[in-house]
Amino acid sequence: MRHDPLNQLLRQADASAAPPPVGANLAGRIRWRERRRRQLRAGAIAAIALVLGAWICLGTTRPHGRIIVEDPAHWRAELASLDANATGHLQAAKSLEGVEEGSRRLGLIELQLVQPDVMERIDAAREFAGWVLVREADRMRNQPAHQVEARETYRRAVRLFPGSTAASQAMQQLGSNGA
Amino acid sequence: MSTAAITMALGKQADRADLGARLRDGEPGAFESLVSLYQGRIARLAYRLLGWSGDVDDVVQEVFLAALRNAGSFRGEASLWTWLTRITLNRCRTHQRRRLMWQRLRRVLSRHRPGSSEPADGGAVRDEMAGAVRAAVAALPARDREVVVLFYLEQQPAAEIAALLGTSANAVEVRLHRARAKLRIALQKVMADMT
Repeated sequence: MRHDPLNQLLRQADASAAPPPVGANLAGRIRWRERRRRQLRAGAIAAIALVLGAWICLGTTRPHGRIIVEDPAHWRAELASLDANATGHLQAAKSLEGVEEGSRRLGLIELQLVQPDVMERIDAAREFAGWVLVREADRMRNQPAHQVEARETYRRAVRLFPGSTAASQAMQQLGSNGA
Repeated sequence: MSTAAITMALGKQADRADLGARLRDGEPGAFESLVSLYQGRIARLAYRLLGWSGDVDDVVQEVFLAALRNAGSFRGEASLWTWLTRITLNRCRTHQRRRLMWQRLRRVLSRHRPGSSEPADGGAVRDEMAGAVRAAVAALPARDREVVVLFYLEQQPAAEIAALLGTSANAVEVRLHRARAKLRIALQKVMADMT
């Protein structure tokens, strides 16, 4: 295969070509390139680290530029301040509760002062009940079949509610009827 | 071959195997020995792969720079020459890709017609026939040119070329056949003149 005319032509063409242009001190030049590449890489890494560091520093600062310090004393002071605030709020709530309790009691007293006396209310109730009996007896007196029951009802009003105007009225009806 | 020649050849082989180990260990002076030992061969190979043109010095520098950077990974399973040949093939491909890209860019910018590039060997053509052959090889696609250079000029067997290119021997034979056909067409007139 390699004795064909193509092989011969190729070998002749290669042999007649100018020698490859390669400069002197190849190893030295390669070493220099490698050193330069390393220096560039180290420089690039340092630059990236610098940028990254600056970015991290900027990221941990507050808008007004003060750096957040991860100091336990700082956090203790912060907690004490929050605790004091909470205590103040609790005391305010308790005092408000006391004022509300006082207001409630005052309202009850005022209500008691506005309402009528208990004895008066009992007398009124007695009067009301006595008059109910008298009115019932009056209705029965007008019916001939219930004359006895009417008199009995007048007597009951006198017995149950003595001293009331209803008892006086009942006594008058009994006297007029000859009971 | 005489006994003295065989002894010398064996001694050189042992030295080269030892050089691989020294290089891997980063021993001072090993890299310089590697460069002085293979510089000529690598330059010739790169020159042929680039079509007897292009910045061979730059490619050779890149080949040895890659060897210097990757010396620690050289395991000695292949010979130093095989290792360097692989690196050279890769660097030449990269170089050609870049060159093609620049040519296209220049063509777009200057609106030159395709095919108006310089002669393959930059004007150092010694005779017309050799120049035509070199131009025909340079005009082959990179993959075809690789097998032609390795087979005809570097005298490598197909199996060895297949190992270098990471392909099968059959694929190498196919590529060779295709490249030969293209060269025969391109060099019809030259071959007719020879006969």
